[in-house]
Amino acid sequence: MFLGAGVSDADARLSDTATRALTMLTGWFGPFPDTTLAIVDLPWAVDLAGAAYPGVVTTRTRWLAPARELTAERTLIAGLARRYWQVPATPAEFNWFAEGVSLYSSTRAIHELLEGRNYASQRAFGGFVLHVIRALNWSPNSWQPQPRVRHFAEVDEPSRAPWRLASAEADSQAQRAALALHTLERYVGWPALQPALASLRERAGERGVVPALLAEVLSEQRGIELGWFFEDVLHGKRAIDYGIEVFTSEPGGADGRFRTVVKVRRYGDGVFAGTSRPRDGSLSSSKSLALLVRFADGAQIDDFWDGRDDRAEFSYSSRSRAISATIDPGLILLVDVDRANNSRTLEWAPRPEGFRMTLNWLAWLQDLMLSYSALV
Amino acid sequence: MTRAWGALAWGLGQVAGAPLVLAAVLLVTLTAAAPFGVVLGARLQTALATQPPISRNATDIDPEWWMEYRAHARGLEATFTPVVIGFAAPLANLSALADGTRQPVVLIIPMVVAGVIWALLWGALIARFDGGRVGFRQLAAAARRHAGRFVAIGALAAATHVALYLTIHALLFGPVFAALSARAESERDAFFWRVLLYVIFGILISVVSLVADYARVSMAVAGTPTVREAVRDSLRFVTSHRAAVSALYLSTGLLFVALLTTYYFAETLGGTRIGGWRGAAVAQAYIVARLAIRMTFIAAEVRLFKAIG
Repeated sequence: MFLGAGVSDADARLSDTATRALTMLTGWFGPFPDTTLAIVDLPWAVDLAGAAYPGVVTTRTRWLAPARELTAERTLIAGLARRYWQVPATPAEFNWFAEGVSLYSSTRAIHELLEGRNYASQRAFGGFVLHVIRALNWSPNSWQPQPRVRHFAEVDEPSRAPWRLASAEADSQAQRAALALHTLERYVGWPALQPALASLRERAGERGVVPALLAEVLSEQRGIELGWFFEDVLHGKRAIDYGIEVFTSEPGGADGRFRTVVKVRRYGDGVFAGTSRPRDGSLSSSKSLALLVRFADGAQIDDFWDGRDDRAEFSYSSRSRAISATIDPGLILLVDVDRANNSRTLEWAPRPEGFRMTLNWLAWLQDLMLSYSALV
Repeated sequence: MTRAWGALAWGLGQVAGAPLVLAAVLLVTLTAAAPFGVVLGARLQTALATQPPISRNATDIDPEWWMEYRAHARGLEATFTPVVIGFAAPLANLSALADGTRQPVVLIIPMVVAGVIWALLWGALIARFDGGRVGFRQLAAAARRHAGRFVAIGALAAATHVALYLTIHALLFGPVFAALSARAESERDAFFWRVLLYVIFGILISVVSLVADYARVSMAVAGTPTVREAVRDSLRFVTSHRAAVSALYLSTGLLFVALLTTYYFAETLGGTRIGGWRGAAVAQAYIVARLAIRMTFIAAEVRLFKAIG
């Protein structure tokens, strides 16, 4: 392992990060592809941080960076994860998939390794001054154990670079693949996906990192039929967007019971069906999309929809009024292009965190108004 | 130099002895910003209302929700970024000023509102610091009396700043910095070059701001009748007494730096949390302190002008 000249605190941190990252990645995906590894801490003006080549991974520490600022660590982890998916046998037409797996693996590895100290950071004064926003931690915490944030600048930028297997721009096929893999993880679970990715890496030497191989592995290992997923979600360029179109809950009869109607809609042309088999007659046959309806008395109904039709209607009779309806409440479908339409509520109540966020923003605006008015 | 420090000490005493005036200024500036806060707050609440209940029991903001919110945010909502939290806010605003970062178009409205509000406040504050304890009606009358001409001075200064940013700033932080940083052997060297350029450009915009300030003081204190004459009088004052004017400006600047340093350590030691009430309270305390420093500077400028003008 070769770091910058001298042994600084930053070198020691990078060395420690590399050791822990390699241990973790080896546990996930198998042996690291290189027998020797040089980690290059690039000079400040060289804009190649994040590059990974056989035997070489690059990162960059900054001069005015506090110890809590982990940009260099995130870049290093992303580079190490990237090396796993740079497989020469991958056909050029599937480079987008290999890049997507790389983006997904990097993001997941960062969350796992830097959990609890993965703070947001801010670059100021020409990018020279780095400030850690300790109030905002990107990685999982006690109340939300799933990796949540799916995009790190250190993983996504620059979106076009010589070391990338394909473009990682916001709407690229690689980013769609990465989101699809995050979705797959939430759908089948990490205990199922991790060994599948390890087998994908192991067998990729002959066939390359291709989606069909991952589908085969998952089918072999778990007996999960995921042809629909690879066809519609991973490969597809169609937009997946589900939402609640209509939500009403009114007194429906002399018995005083409420009749609740939830009309769900598939706004996009993509489908998240949960199976390749034809529907067996029930709207909820495949249980691919959960529908959660909450009622004023605290009761709730968990229903399902297979997401095939343009629209579907669910109706319920209850003693109390329904207050909210949410499609995909577990945030499984991360490829959903607009989650803002996934929920409707009839009982709107201001949320305290909304007030607190507004007050923070207001202080920022007051400071901005003071700063600019001080000039004139 | 002594006169500058004397004026600053006098200004500090004036502000310390006028807590109600400080409270009134805070109220006015808060009222000016509040409508934008109401708009953003309503949109945030709407967005939170449709947040999936997975986070319903959480006390903190879900970072994933925030990222998705930002992905679809437009206009005022697009300004709701992580830099609004705590010390990051003044750092981002100062950095944007220094780097000439183009702000979202929607922010022009609060900036113009702030310019007009401060044109009114200038009139009232000069009357207060020039005339001692005066009543609310007299302050309001002074604000109204000078408002139009003070807005004109502000508009002139703003136009000059825009011209400076479009020409000198673009040159300094474009080709000049590129050439200097290319020759720098380390990041530290490049940063020092950048700081030097900040200083050079800072002097230019400070001069414009000071001329605008003393033009207002000249009008209100010396009764200079027109904007043109006031600017001319201010230019004469600033150039004739540049040592005292600069010393006062730098001394007040040091107060601001001390405030920022305090804020930074208060935040890092206090451990403010995202969206937390404590963070919001600390931020408002910072705003109050910043207003007090600004009022001190205005009072000191009045004092200095009367003493040597």
